[in-house]
Amino acid sequence: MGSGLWPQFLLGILIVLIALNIFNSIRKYRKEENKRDFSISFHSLFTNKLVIGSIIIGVYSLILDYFGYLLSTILFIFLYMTLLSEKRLVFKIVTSLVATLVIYIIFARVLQVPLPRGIGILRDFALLLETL
Amino acid sequence: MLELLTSGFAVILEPSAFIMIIFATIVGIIFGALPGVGSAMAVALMVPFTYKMGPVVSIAFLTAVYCSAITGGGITAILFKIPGTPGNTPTTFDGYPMAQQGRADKALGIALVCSAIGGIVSAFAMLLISPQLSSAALRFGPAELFAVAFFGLSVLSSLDSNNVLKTLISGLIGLSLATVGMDPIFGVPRFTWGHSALVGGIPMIPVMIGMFAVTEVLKQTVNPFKIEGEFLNKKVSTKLLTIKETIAMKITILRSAVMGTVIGILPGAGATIAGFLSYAAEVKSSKTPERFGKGAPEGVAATETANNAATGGSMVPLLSLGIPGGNSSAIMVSALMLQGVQVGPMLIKTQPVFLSGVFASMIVTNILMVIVAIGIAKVFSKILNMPYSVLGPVIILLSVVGSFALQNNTGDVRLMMVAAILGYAFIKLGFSSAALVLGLVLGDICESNLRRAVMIADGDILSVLSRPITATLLITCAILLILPFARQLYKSKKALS
Repeated sequence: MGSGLWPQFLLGILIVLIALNIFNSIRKYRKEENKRDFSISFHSLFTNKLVIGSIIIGVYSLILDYFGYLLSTILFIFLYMTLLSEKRLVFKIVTSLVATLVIYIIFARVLQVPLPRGIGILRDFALLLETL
Repeated sequence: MLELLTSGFAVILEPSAFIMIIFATIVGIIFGALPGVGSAMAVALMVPFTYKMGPVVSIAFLTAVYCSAITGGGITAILFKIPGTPGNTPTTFDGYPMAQQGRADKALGIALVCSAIGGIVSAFAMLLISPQLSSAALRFGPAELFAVAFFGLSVLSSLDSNNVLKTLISGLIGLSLATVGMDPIFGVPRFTWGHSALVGGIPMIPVMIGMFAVTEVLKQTVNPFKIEGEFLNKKVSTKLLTIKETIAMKITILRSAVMGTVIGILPGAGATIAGFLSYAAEVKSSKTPERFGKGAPEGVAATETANNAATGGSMVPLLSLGIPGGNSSAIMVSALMLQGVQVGPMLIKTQPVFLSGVFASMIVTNILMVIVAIGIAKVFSKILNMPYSVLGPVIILLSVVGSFALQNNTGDVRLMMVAAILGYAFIKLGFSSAALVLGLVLGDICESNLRRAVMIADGDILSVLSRPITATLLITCAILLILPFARQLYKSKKALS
């Protein structure tokens, strides 16, 4: 049995089952009285909380390497709290600072996981913090 | 036997490990009690804390989180009619009416004591059954092991019987994703598209953290839910069951403990099914079934005993066969693999301390959690008052840091993100992320054993599959997979005529 057989076997069944599923969905759709509207409005892309939330987390995971853990996490928590309709500004600032710091202490200090330092002056700052 | 037991307690009662178990119990109960944070999420979020522990302490720690999360879920079920984890759903039937009648303290007491009894009974059952099962499995060759792993996959059909086709597709996607990276026999890279990062395969932990933790936050971002109820700003005390009252309910407790343990051992059926079935059995066997749903203490006792007993049961296939029976145990298996532990029938033969360590942890946790839960129930309204705008981002933050800490690279963080969004799409479209994760965990075990068996048989696949045990297991598996289809067909035929 070579390296290819198992994946071929799996993907073979997968294709059959997905075909079956598509067939099922089409049948169900035909039966529906009020046909569902599948068009996505351009406007809803910018107001949909799921899309915005995913973008915030996505951007966060992308900037971690450059901005470092500290700065990107503070920004992330602040923005995500805003998305969850938190209105109190001071509360948001305090929470993002405290949460970032607590997780930093737990992981970087207690569990000794080297968190991303970022580049440039942010890296210098992170290194300075680690010497404390 | 005695030596085995002392070795387990020696590991758990070592100060640093013991502190971690206490920590696990507190976190488990709080996470379990918070609506929208299930036991799988609790276990997934705690995995990063095990990276620096020894393997035995890791599994003991995660077991403690799992057990206490199921218990914590009962608190919310009783006070707010919201099951903290799906396994606590039947607790709401009688626990919430009890609370409304002013007997919240009693309901909580029953839930805690019964949870502890259920957990401890199942821990003993695990201790006795696991070695038997693993020595039976040790006589197995790779052909049989393949069948056993494949049997674990038949779980897929029982996970969500409403949508078998989509569940199967999800499981197969998981199995296919597991083939990415070096193949387990010849080391040929597959589906790596020339990327060196993919040679090691898709790391399982970030996928699980994404699907079980961040997906849940995305869900609540779109559809936030509010908790309401008279207990939101009230201090709640707990009245523990007296020994006399416990003895009065001995049949309920004993039956539920046995049922829960057995159901927990079965692949795919975990705390949720155990809770529901044992509640149903309690109603059926009661002389006064009309009391149920209106605040019958036995209803709370039956559910809470059984769902905690299922935790011990689910550790049996995990420890003796290396096959997870559900979400939480799938996470535990991958946490062990991460530490380089060879899960499988050899595990408790060569390192019995894994069995005794888990046993000791379950005993200690089940006793500790009663004390911790009484304290937490008192300040529970304060915990619930924590706005989701804080909890949500903190869960994501823990997920990000946890995925990063795996190999200290942000690639795993991005993978976790993709898994989270995929998990959300799966929920919306009726697919099963639990099935995908199970496929991902079992994929390698399935393939490597099958291919080893075929190699031993000189390439004759048919002779491998027709070995007696293998064939029996595969046929059972096929029946389990086809049965829901047949039922659906039967139902739709009936509906037509």
